[in-house]
Amino acid sequence: MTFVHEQYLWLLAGLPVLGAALLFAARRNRRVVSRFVGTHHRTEVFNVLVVKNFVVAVLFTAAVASLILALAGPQWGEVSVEDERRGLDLVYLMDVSNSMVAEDIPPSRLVRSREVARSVAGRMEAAYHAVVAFKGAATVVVPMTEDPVAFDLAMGNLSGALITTAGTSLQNGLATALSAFPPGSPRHRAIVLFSDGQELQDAVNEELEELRQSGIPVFAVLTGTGTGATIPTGDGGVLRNDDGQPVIAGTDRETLRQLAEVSGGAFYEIADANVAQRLASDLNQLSGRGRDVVFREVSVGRYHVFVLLAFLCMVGVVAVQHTRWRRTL
Amino acid sequence: MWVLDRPVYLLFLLVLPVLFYLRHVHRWRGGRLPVPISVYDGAAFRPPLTFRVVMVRLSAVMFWVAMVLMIVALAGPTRTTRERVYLSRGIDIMLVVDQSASMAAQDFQPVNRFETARSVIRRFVEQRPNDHIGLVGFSAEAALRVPPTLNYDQLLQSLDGMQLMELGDGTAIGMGLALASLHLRGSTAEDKVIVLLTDGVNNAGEISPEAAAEVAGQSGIRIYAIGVGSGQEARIEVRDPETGQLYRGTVRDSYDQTTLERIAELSGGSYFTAGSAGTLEAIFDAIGTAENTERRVQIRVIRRPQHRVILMWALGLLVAEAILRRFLLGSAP
Repeated sequence: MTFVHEQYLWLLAGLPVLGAALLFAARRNRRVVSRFVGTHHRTEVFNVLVVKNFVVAVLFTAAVASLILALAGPQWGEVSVEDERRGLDLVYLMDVSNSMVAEDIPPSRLVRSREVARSVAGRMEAAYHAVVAFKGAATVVVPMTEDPVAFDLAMGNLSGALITTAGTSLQNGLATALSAFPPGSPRHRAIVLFSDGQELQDAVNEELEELRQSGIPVFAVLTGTGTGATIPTGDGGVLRNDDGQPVIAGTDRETLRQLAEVSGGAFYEIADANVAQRLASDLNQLSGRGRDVVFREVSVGRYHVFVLLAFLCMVGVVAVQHTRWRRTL
Repeated sequence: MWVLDRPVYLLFLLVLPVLFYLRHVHRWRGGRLPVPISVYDGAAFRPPLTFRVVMVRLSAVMFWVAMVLMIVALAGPTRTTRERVYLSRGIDIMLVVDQSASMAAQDFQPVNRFETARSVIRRFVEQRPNDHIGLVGFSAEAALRVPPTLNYDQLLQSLDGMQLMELGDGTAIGMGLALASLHLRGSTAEDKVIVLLTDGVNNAGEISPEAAAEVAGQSGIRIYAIGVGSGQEARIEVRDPETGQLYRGTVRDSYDQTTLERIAELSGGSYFTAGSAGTLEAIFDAIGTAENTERRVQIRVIRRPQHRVILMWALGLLVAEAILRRFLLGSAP
């Protein structure tokens, strides 16, 4: 089972607090009821009260937990969806943030990304290509086109200077990449993301949902090594923090892996010598190599199972709360 | 349009009246201790509408709204939109637009030749939903603004960003045509077309218009050459985007009709004369009609599930109701 919106699972951490609060409420009930009934049927009333409180607390907590799980977008199993498309629209989403000039991948992360992107494009003859660059903001460098010259020119000129907004906003990048797919295109669609995942600023829930619903997979290429590297400043030095220590540009493997997995794409590492070949092969498979109809495997969302569970728990809560036991409570 | 993926779950709504009866109406319901405070068979009294009573009723409303929302979410509310998908490939069109200073001549209403061309091109683009359209600007040099694309937002944005004289002062028609041909070379479209729009004589660049047209013709690219200008003396006002200097004067220069005719002839295209804004629009209409292709269209339904927001509300209301009823009002259990 995987979750589309894993961040909602953090809400589950609040369940113990909810349980404790319900326990506290139960104790308070006991005191109040004790004062009210005095000694009349006291033991019998307390026995019912304890059981009812316990069952209601368990059912209510289970209902809340089920709703949280439903919100997180659980999915399991796959179903084949007929996809009547031909060819491929590819958006190359290129991270041009400062960390991409780190040289742990020679000659640098960005230059190597450009080389791999060009190599992939060279192997995808029938595909249309668009280039989107992102940092703190994102911009369409080349709109979706069949023109290899424009693509090559844009890739050659790709640098951090294209965008002045600092940071790394994958959210902006994905939103701009989605807008780069022209409406009414009969081709398959995919995003090839080149990023080190370093210091991604924001969650990409809405974009991920959009990708999943539109059947646009993200093929994520991690550009960088696990050990990371310093960031050259261009004057022979390296970027330093306020304490004068060199800034190490690391990588965020998990974010990219999850993005690829949830969207139905694949994850690669640029350090892999065959990355371009593997990527092109997977993309060719996606496009169905010119066939009119291909079958796409789509993960099946199962949120309703958990909502049903939550609803039944709440029906149980009402039944337990408001059915009179032993003519006492 | 809104649809439900699993409407059968709405049947759960029938359970709610039973639960409502059990929770609020049933005389011998649990969770409360009835205390007789009226004489037998006498008139009872209603409790006053205190803040506490309002909160009790509010908590009940929150609970039932949450239950209804859960059932609605279960039914799978989905918003659908329809998208037109073009199954046939349109043609490729490169618009080659003169950005020299003379295009600021005010013999075209309401502003000048360039602004008229811009608005006519905009209308032309909006009427061709399935053709890949690109944009090249030229004056002393030529530059690709947008390669052939279906992304018209990007194209129109770039068209709006074009400024006179940003590529120097001069008219390099040959360079503009050569650049447009280069970017059409990789196209798999059956028909490839260049629409050249100029008001001047080729006086810059290293490639002659005739040579560029010949190469285009050999690559199967037709050129529609449009000469712009009334041929009469016209006022001109243009600001150099680099220096910010404003130039004012009059212009009488006209385009080179012979060269434009030759360009059209060498590439198998046509030559047009646009003496006014209306004529220019008519020419673009004519080109649009001449380059009409068969369009095979499929309607695709895009589905966007909306259950998440509903679930958030349901969860929030349930928790809020529990807090209100159990902790603030002290209800048991």
